[in-house]
Amino acid sequence: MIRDTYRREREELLEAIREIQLLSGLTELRFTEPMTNHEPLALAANGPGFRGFKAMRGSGHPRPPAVRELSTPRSVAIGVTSPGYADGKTTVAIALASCLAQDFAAQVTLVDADFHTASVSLEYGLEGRKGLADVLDGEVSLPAVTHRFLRAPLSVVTAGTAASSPSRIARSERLVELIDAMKANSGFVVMDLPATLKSMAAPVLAQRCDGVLIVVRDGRTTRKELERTLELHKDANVLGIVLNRRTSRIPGWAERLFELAS
Amino acid sequence: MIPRKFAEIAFRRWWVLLIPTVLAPAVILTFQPKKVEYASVATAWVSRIEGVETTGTFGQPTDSQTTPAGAQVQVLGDLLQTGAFRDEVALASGLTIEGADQRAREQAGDLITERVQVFEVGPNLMGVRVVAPTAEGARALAAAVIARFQERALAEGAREAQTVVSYFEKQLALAQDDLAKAQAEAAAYIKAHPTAADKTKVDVDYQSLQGKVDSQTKVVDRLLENLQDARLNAASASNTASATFNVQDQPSLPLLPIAESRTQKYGYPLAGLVVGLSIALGYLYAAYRLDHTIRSREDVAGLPVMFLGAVPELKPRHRLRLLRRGGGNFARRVAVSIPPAPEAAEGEAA
Repeated sequence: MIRDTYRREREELLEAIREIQLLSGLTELRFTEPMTNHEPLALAANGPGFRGFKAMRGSGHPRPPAVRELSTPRSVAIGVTSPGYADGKTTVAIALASCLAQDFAAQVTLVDADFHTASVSLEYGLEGRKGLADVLDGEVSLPAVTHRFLRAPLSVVTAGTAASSPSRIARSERLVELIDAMKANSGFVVMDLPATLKSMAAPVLAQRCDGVLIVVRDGRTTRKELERTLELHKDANVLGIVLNRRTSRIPGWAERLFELAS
Repeated sequence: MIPRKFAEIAFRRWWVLLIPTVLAPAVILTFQPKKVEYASVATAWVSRIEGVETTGTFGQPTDSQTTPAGAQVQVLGDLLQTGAFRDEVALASGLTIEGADQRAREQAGDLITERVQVFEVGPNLMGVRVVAPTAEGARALAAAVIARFQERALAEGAREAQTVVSYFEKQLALAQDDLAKAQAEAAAYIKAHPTAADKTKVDVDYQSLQGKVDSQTKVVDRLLENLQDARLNAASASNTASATFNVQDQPSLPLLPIAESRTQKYGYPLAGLVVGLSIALGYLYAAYRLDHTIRSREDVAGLPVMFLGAVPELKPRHRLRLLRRGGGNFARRVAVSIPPAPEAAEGEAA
């Protein structure tokens, strides 16, 4: 049923990803203020990685002229979650990983830790392949489930096919070791986590990451859901929230006239 | 400062703002009754009769503060409040027929109260304005009101004059009786005292009786004068009524209906506009208050989390569709280009 719910929204998400990729080659992230101003992101604030994250790559903004080198002080694991399904966490996770890998030449591992929907696997056409759950079950090794891009320093680890309980996987000490192993090979490990209010594994998995981004969908996620999500992630390092699929019908003249906040 | 969410809702649901704002005045304009009415106006000259006792003269002012026209307006207004007068007017104007039932008479009376307006134009000029659905109806009703009022005034004047005549006649009869008695007493006294009438002698009793006769004679004479005046008034009651209430402008036959009032023309649609706008704003405010979704930085204010930024929604555009057609599905092409790692191939083989 969860998969069905996801599949209904999948086409919508695919459309967004396609457009993102068509527009800029990889991503269309547009943040409203420099990331370096945010203390929680100081884990990478010295390096250009998150400066790249703030890159204004919208339709009206030019693509960065050249790939820049990253110099992160240490490897970090960033979890991306959302309160509910179809809020866009997978889109943001893929965009973040792609941006870091292509524009800043950082070695990035994108991990599909959403064992309920395996949405990253679906996006890349890797559904049915063995993945993280199978590694935790000891069936295969981590390199065996790591799919690498040829054109960019990006690797994808799928969720896997093993019928293990997501909660058990999340609590597994082996998972911590695996994350450390991925961090050893990559500058950034981006983990697509389950929807927080739909999976009990999400808060535990979030604690395994160095920081967590919470994706909320414009006009869909309620403040109550976000509060509940934050409460569940109180033991995790929440970096901040990203408003996804933001639309505005307010014309520019009205924004200027009423001095509306962004 | 307007909250962004409110502005967002307003621009998203602009049609909500538009519908009641347009619909409410439109409904009012559509369903507003289009009444075509005609007004017939008549004026009458009203005067105070100088040198005539005002008491008992119909519609004459009883004090110097009230103008003749004001007094007549008051009288006609009072008459229009009476069912009997309204019945007479209704019958005369053709609103009801002879022998109409109580309900029909009441309806006609209500119509008269509603349609007839009596007003003071000047100190000696009063007006009667009648509004009716037809020009002929308005004129007939105005004519009926004035005619019946004149009849009433005439009848009332005659009745009052006759009352005065009767009064003086009775008083005169009594005074004449008293005079006859006094004269009889005086004659009896002279008969008993033949020398009492002698002017060289002073008879106090006789003089007292004679004084009584003289006094009563004066009373009778005064009453006779008053009676004559009263009879004169009674005889000239119709002339007096004509002199005090003279129709200057007969009820007119209106050629054009009454122009629509500004209130009806502009006021009601404007009120509808205000009501519609209020409904729309109320709806938008309710929608704003009930929308608890996150749409901007303002909506996460107060939460212990940082708002990092927003990813805009990308809607397909024509240019993008062309690109997609030409370039194919980039994501899918990338996906199929991902080869399994050598270790994975080995693991699967194993």
